[in-house]
Amino acid sequence: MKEDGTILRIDQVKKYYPRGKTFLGKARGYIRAVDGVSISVRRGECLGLVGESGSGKSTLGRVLAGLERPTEGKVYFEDLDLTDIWKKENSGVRTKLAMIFQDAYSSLNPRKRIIDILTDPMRYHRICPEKDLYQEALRLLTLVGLHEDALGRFPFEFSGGQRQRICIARALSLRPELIICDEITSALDVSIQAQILNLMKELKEELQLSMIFIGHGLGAVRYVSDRLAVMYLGKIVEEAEADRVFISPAHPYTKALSLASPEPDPDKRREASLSGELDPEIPETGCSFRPRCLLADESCRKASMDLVPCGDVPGHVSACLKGI
Amino acid sequence: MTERSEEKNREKERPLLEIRDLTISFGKEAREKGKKGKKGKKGIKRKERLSAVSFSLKKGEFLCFVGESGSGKSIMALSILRLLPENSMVEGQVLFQGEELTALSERGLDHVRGTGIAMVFQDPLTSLNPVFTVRKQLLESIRKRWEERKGEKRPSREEEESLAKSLLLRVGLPDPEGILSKYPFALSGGQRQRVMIAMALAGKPSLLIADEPTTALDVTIQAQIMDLFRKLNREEEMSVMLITHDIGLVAQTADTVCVMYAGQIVEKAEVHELFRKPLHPYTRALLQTVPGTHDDPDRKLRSIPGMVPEDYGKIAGCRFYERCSERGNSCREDQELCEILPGHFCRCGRAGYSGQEARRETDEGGRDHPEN
Repeated sequence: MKEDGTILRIDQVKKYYPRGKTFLGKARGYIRAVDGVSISVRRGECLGLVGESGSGKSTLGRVLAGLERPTEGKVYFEDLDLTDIWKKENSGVRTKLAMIFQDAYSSLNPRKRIIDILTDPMRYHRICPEKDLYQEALRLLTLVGLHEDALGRFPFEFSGGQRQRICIARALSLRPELIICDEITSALDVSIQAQILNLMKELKEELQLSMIFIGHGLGAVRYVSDRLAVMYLGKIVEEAEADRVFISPAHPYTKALSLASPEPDPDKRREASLSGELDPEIPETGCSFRPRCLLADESCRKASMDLVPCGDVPGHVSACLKGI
Repeated sequence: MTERSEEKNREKERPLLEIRDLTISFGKEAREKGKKGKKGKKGIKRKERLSAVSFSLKKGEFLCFVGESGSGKSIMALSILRLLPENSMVEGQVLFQGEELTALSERGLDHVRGTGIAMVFQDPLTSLNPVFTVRKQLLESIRKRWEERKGEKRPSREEEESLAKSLLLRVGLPDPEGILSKYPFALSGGQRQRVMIAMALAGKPSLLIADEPTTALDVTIQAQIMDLFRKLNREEEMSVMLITHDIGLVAQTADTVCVMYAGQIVEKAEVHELFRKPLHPYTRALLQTVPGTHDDPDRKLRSIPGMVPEDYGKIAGCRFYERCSERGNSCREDQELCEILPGHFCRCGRAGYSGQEARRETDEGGRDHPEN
């Protein structure tokens, strides 16, 4: 990956959660939610993260946003090591990273008016002088396609799609450079989803934002992303240009995922291609997708899950080359 | 219509389920005053959520209802088995195998529930009882269905147990013994939904109503569940009524599609026909809002401005008017659901024009020959 223009880079990040405890308080085992992930995001780029639930994509998002400390590994934002700097509240880096969550209902304080929801973070971080706060809030609202009269209202007065717009406006209020979107359209209707996806795409262009877009609707993630990473059980199994990932997938999991996604065309009916469910009991050695993989054989027991380049396409890497 | 489907039609002339002018409204006052005397109805404050919906479902048909939330599709499904809350008012006819369900007593309807029509809901965790094992709940539904079928010998405990296991195997749970002794919380979302389907199949229903059964599941599990539905539909001639908001799912499963908007069916057609020639502006817009995995990278998603109107029962004229990009003066009048192409119904006066164009196209193509 090119070093120039990289805004966020993580190196072998792991996040383990203890599972069960002995009476001395020691963990019996660990859930390896994120298990050695290295990615980087370039300035102005949108990286999509897809995978089934339990694949660790949301945990990774939370680690990147600083909501969780990684068990191991480093997160670099520009050239700052976030794992060090995170303790000191006023490092200023926090304002450069924003996160938007799936549930727009629980992420807005029901007792606050929209004007306060938007201006409080700006006031705290002294983004602009007190007298300009109203204008700034108004600018944000217009940016996400809401009207001025929304400012005096409470969150309950808005529909799901409008609330998500408010969440986006709030995320933009601190003028971040990177936004992490965690399943922001999953709870919305298709027509509203299209509105939000288009909005995110426009905002990205307009404000030169970098984004990490996490989701399980493959079509939606593909639509906003420039590059896509497919996760399975805490590991990235394939990474490539968004247009390429589903057209010529290299990893059997990506292939299966792409086939399972219901294509809106009755002439292209498909049978389910992936049997079984994601099992958090990760095999100790070899490929963790092995138990569900159609192409698995003896060699997969020892195979490493390191990403290797696929053919001569730059930037296309996969943990398995059997699917090609 | 193709030859094959015409043959099918003749074979099963009587529809399995027929709904005529089903209208549902909500409001506490409506019920109280309606009880005393029917005259009191007029000034009553109540919200209409479903307006004169009619359709029929043939044996072995896979019918999909698609629409945004608030379009009334779930309410319609619930009303078929009279599962709506107390404050609802249901008018119209629901005929199942020629029997009028709305006239049945609660006891009589109990017989239809499960053995005639079974239902699977969106959230399997709340549909299953958390304090009982799967065994207890599945056996209960097996036993219950047996009681409903009069004259049959009560199965022994072993027979019930083996039936339960075969049901679980049928819905794609490879380890039935293990599943049976588990509590719902110990199962994954996909496993729970499969248990729900097994319970629904226990009564050997001829119609399965599935209300957003895979919304909470991963695409991979969703594909497996849909495979199961299609298999049941194909191999056992079970009719399926699938309610969803996922256009992709509709394309993958349906024989016939009903598009719902604001309490009305706005378009109804055979699935290939609908995706090839959507007539209603809403359907057209809806089809363009879905991002696919193999799209042209430069494709821009279309979004429908605004949202489903709140109190749509009161809207005069076309209910999609406010959001429609093709509206005209004639749209202020009430729109009827008309057969514009053979077997293709649409509730839009302006669709007539595009319909004629489409008809000319098909004539030229020499595929179909519409008469009327």
